[in-house]
Amino acid sequence: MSILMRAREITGRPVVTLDTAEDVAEVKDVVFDHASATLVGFTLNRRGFLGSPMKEVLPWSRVAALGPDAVMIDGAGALGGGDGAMEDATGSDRDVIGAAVMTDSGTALGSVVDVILEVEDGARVVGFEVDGPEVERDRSAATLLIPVDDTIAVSGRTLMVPAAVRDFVQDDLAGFGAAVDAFRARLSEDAP
Amino acid sequence: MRLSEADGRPVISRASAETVGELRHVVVDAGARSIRALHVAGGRRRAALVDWADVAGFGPDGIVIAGEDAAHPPKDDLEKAVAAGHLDLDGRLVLDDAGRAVGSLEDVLFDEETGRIGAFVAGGAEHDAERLRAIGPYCVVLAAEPRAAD
Repeated sequence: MSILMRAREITGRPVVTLDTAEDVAEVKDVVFDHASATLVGFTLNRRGFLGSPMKEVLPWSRVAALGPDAVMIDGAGALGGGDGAMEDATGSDRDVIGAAVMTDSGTALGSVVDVILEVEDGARVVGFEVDGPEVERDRSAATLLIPVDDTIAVSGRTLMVPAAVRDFVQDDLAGFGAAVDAFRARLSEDAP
Repeated sequence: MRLSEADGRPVISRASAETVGELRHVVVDAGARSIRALHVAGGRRRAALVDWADVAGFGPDGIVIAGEDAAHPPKDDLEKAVAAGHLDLDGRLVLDDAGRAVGSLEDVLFDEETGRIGAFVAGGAEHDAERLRAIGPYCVVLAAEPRAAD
């Protein structure tokens, strides 16, 4: 079973060991590789009020489970250096929060306020939450959810998405999984 | 028996008929899913543990132990943590191993003859003790229930 979650909701979530049931860290930042549209790992803070940043990181390959209330790891040994995927992503400075979302027909949809993940065996980027022009145009919701697939282009400032995404924009996460599926089905139909 | 009902029950020596103290915490062997020892407080000793093997009778009105000398100081890190109150079960967060909160621990069902734990009560439901993975300073971890695909 897969679940959808916002990346920002993962921030601050405790990292808990399965062997000793201890909260050994908490998530500082979620690290993405936008080229492959995947979550590659987490940077960490110490637990507690004003927890200080930790040297150790947690690559996705050493995560036992990412749940709505905690990130589970087998044991404290899972914290340590990053793996290759995480090193690549950390070095490339691809923070998309604040980036403008532009369709390939040249319409600005808004700027990214959050990343939507689908968590199953891996964690894939399936959409972005945006605020801005498209929200003001014809919506009452505070933000909009835009489905994406791994064909989008990401620079530090702009996300280029197919114009077809405008038909699949959603107000909330409840219907978003279906919207992602419908959007991807449309893209594969349109493919030459 | 429910652990909540046993909380605060007097602990009495069979040899001397003296009250040694009252039940405060239990030391759980997570691997064996059973109560390994009782933490007895409020008596003349500041903090004492009694091995389950030295419990002669776990009754509705009192817990009878072999003798006052069965009470011993904590002998390992687990017993020290329990005696210090760091592993107090009551109200402890329960997570499943998929990182989902089950609720807070409301009770523990155990067999007063053997000390074996049958179930944990959390989030308004009973969870088979077979699912226990770990008890730690942050939470109790249970194996996730198989979820229906939706």
